[in-house]
Amino acid sequence: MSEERSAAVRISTRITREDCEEILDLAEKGDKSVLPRVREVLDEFPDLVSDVGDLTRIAKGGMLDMLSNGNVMVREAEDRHLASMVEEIAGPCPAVIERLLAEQIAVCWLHVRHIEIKYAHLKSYTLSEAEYYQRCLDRSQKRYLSAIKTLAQIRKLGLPALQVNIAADGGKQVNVAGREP
Amino acid sequence: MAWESRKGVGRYYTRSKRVGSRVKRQYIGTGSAAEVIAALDADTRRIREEERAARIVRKDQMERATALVDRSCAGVMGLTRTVLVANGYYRHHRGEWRKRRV
Repeated sequence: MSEERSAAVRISTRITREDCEEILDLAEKGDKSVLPRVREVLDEFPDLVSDVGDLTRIAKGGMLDMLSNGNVMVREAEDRHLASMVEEIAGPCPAVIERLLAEQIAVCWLHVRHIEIKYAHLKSYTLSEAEYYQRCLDRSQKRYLSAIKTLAQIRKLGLPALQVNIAADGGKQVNVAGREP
Repeated sequence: MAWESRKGVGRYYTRSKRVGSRVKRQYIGTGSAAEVIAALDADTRRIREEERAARIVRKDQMERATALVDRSCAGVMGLTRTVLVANGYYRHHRGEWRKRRV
């Protein structure tokens, strides 16, 4: 058992984050041969879900700080508004991936709003600055719509019925796609 | 270099202005009128400098916000792809996700 484990560790230590992209690209094209490598990726990064969740939380915190401009009351109100938005989007008993996507949608919405507010509050601006804001706004709206589309796809595919169990250290298990009991 | 003297005599206020591809020097003159115009010019320059600094701060803030959202988006989308692939889905012609037949 310990030999198997050490062998798995030896294999997985060869995977880098760049490899992950390559493996996923092949897997997306339907290359069945990379499926064991995909599972290896999930084994290699057992904290993937919490890491991604942290990234979303960091983004949300940063956006709230920028929007509130040091006003604690505004920050708290915005934070609550976002939390209720996430609850509404995620729905009752969301799968972990659905919840992450719901949080991502909320963060993207906040980003769109941040740019709109900054743009609207400009007292004077040059033509190039207006173009820059317009480009930022276009990109953020695209990102926002893409997050919504991904959540819709996940729901359409009925992924919550399926589940990926990621074994972490200390016998802890992370269920990526399973619904909460 | 806005105030100039000729052979060490006098104090003339001048200002430079770009006209097309060339820079033209405009001679304003001396005395209290020149002092007032110089003060107004200095004020205009200060306001322009402040606006420039504010623009840099705004752009920096925008870039930071975009970088934060980009990173979290890449993370969530990457994880979603991983979960779909691990559950036997693939992208048909880089388009919609389909379940692989067993």
